[in-house]
Amino acid sequence: MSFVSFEFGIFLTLVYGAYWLLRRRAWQNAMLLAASYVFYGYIHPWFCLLLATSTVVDYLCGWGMVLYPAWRRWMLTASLVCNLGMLGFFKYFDFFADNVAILLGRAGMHADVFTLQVLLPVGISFYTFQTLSYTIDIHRGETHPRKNFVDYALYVAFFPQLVAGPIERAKRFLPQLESRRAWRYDDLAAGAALIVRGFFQKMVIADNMAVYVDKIFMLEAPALSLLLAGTLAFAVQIYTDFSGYTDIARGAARLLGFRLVENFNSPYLAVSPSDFWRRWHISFSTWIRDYLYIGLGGSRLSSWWAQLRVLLVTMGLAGLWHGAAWHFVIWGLYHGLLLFTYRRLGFGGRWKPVTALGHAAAMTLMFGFTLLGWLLFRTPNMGWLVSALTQPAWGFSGPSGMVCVVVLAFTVLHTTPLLVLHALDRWFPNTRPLHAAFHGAALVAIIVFFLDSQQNFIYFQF
Amino acid sequence: MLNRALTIAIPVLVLLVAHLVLGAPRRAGVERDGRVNPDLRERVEAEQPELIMLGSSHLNCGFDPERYTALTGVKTLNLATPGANTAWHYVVLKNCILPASHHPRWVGIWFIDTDLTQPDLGTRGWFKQFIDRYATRDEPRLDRLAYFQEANPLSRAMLHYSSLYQRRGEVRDKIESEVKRAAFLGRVPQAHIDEYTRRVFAEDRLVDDLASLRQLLAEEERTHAHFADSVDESFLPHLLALAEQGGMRLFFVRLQVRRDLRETAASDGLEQYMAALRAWLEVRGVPMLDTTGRAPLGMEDYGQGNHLTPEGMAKLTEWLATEGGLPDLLRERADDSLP
Repeated sequence: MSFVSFEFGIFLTLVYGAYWLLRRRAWQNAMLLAASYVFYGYIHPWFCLLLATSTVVDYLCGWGMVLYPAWRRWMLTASLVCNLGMLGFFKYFDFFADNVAILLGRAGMHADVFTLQVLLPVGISFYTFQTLSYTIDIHRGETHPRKNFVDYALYVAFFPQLVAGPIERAKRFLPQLESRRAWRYDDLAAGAALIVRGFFQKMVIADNMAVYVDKIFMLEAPALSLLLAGTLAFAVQIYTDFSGYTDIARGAARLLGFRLVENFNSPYLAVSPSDFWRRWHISFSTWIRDYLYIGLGGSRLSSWWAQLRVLLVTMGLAGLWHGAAWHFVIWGLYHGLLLFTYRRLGFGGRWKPVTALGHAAAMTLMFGFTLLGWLLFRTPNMGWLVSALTQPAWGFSGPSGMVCVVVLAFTVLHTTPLLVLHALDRWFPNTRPLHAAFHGAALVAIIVFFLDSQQNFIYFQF
Repeated sequence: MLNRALTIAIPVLVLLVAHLVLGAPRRAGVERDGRVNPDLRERVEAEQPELIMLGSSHLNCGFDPERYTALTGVKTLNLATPGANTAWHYVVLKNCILPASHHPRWVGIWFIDTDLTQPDLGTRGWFKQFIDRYATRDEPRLDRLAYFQEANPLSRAMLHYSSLYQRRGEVRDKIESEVKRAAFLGRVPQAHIDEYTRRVFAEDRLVDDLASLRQLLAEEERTHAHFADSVDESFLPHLLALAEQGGMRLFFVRLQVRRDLRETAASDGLEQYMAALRAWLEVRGVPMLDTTGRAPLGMEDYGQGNHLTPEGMAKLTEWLATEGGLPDLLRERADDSLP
C-alpha cells in the first residue's frame, strides 16, 4: 500500500481510531501488528511470508544465543544466512547470473544462464537490516532477546517504517513498543504536521521534478548543460522524495505515540563526505558504520591501504544495497574514495571549517561532489553516462540551452519552499503561527500541484 | 490553548483564502458551448464513404485513404484530429456519423496499445477543444468517463466543491508560464520555449535502450494495462453500441510504434492486455487488425515520435490493402451479414 493513496488515508484513520480506543498496550501492539501485515500484504500477500520468516528466525536465533551460549556464533550465522540469503536471492540472483554469463562469454564460453525474474519484495532491504541489528546487538550483548513475540514482531513489521525505513535499532525502538502510551494532543499535532510536510515534499516537489529528470535521463545524447540541470533537479528530487517519505513515516508513528529516528539533517549543507553521511539516510549510514565498517577495522586501521580497502568495501556494499546494478556499486565506491581522500587530507571525521568563507567553500565543494555522485546514481547505465559526458557540445545555446534554463528555473521554484522550511525550523522553531501558515500553504500547493499519475517513492525499489 | 487553536485555524484560513480568491466552485459539469460543428457530418454526407477511419494524427500520417481507395476500390475517408482518442471517437460517432444521412459500411478505429481503455486520454488542456467541437451541452457519459472518473471519493468530492481543485490546471499553467517568462526576463515568447522543449524531448531523440523504455511501459501498465478492470469504465462498449445502432461494422487497427521494432519490446503485462482485448472483441464479433510485428516498417519510416514519414505511410497503406489483409477482413465481415 502506497503512502500517497486514498487507501492509506482510510487505513491510517481506522488504525488511529482503533488504536486509541484500545486502552491496553498489549492489545494496541497486537492490533498494530495485524494492521502492519495488512499494510504489507495489500498488493502481494505472499510478501508477508518472507517477513514472517525473517521475524521467526531472528526471534529464535536471539533466544538461542542466550539459552545456548556455546552456539552463539552459529545462531548469529543462521540469522545472517537467512536474512542475507533472502535479500541475495530476491534482489541479486539475476544480477549475478547475468554477470556470470557476461564473464563466461568474454572467456569464450557460451552460458545459458538461468535467471529467475522474481518480483522484488518491497522493503526487504530495510526489514532484513532491521532484524539483523537485533540479532547482532544480542550477540554483542548490547540488548537482550524479547520474551513477548508480538512486541518483537511489531518491531520488525511496524508499518510506518517497514518498506523504506528509517531503520530502527532494537535498543531504541523496542523500549517504546514495550512502554505504555497515552494519547496526547502534541503527538497528534506534530504527527499531522510531519505528514503534511511529507506529502508536500513528495507530491509537490519530488514528483514534479521527476517529470524533467526522467525526460533528461532518457535522452540519447543530452547536452552537458542539460545533464547538469537534470542532475541538479535529481538532487532535489531524491532528497524530497526520500525525506518526504520519512516525514510521512515519522508522522504516522508519532500519531501512534512513537518517535522514529530522524533520517535527514540538511544533507546538502555538509562540508565533507563524513559530514554528508552523518546527515543523509542517517539510519542506514549508522547501520553500515556500526555493523560493517567498525567490524572491518574502521578508523582504527593505521595503514592507508587498509583504510582505503575498508572504506571501498563498506561503501561499495552500501552502493550495492541500493540496487543490483554496477552504477550503484560505482556510486558507493565513489563515496568510499571521497571519504578516504578527505581523511588523508585531514578533513575527515568531525572536521569543520573555522571561517564563514571556508565553510561556504567547503559546502559548495561537497555539494559539487554530491552532484557528481547523483549523476552516477541516476544514470540508466555506465555506457550512457560515458557517452553523455563525452559530448562535445555544452549546449548553452539553442534548444538545449533554453530547456536547461527552464529546468533550472523550475528547480529554483521547487527548492524555495525547502529553504523557507529550513529557515523556519532553524530560526523560528517555536513560532507555531508561522509553521501553521506554512502547513496551510503546503496543503494549497498539494491540491494544485499533485500529479494525476503518482510516482512511486524512489527508495521503495530498494 | 491559543497556540493549539492557531495551529488548526491558520491552515484552515489559508485554504479558505485560496478558495475565495478563485471564486465559488463551478457547476459540476464540463463547460462547453454545446454547438456541434457540422463539418464532419457534412463531409460524410458529401463524400459518402464506404469505410471511415477514425484516429489521431497517427492516422493522418499512417494511412492514405485515396491510395487505399485506388488500390481496393473501397471509398475511404479519414476523420482525424490531433490527440484524438476514444472520447473523440465517441462524440464523432454519436453526433456526426450517426445523425448523417449516409452511414458507412465500416468504421475502423486506430489505436496504440492500451489507448482504448483510457477514457480520459486526449480530453484535457489543448485537446479539449476538439472534443467540445463535436459534443452537445449535455453529455453525461462523456463527462463521467472522460472527466469525472476520479479514482476515489475524496477527489470526487473536491471536484464538486473545491474551486481550487477544479481550477488547479489553470493555476498550474499560470505559474508555469510565469516561471518561464521570468526565466528569460520576458524576452522569449512561451510558444518558442514550448516548441524548443518539444524538440529537445522528441521521441526520436530518446535513448534507444530497452530497459529505460520498459520502465516507462511498466509505469503505464500499472495504471492502464489491466483490461478487465478498465473496459467497463471506458468508451469501448459504447463505441460498439453506437456502431451497431447505425448498422455499421466496427473494427480496430492497432498501430505499430517505434518501441515494437526493438527486440523483445513487448512486456508480459502488455501482451496479457492485448490478449484480453482480442478475446473481448472476438466474443462480440469485432475484428482487430494488429500491425505490430507484421507491417513492413523500419525505423527509417518513422518521423516525429510514432508518426510515419510519407514513405512509411505509403508502405503501410499498400500493405494494408494487400498482404495486411484489410480487404479480406472487411469482406469477411460483410459476409456475416448475409442470410
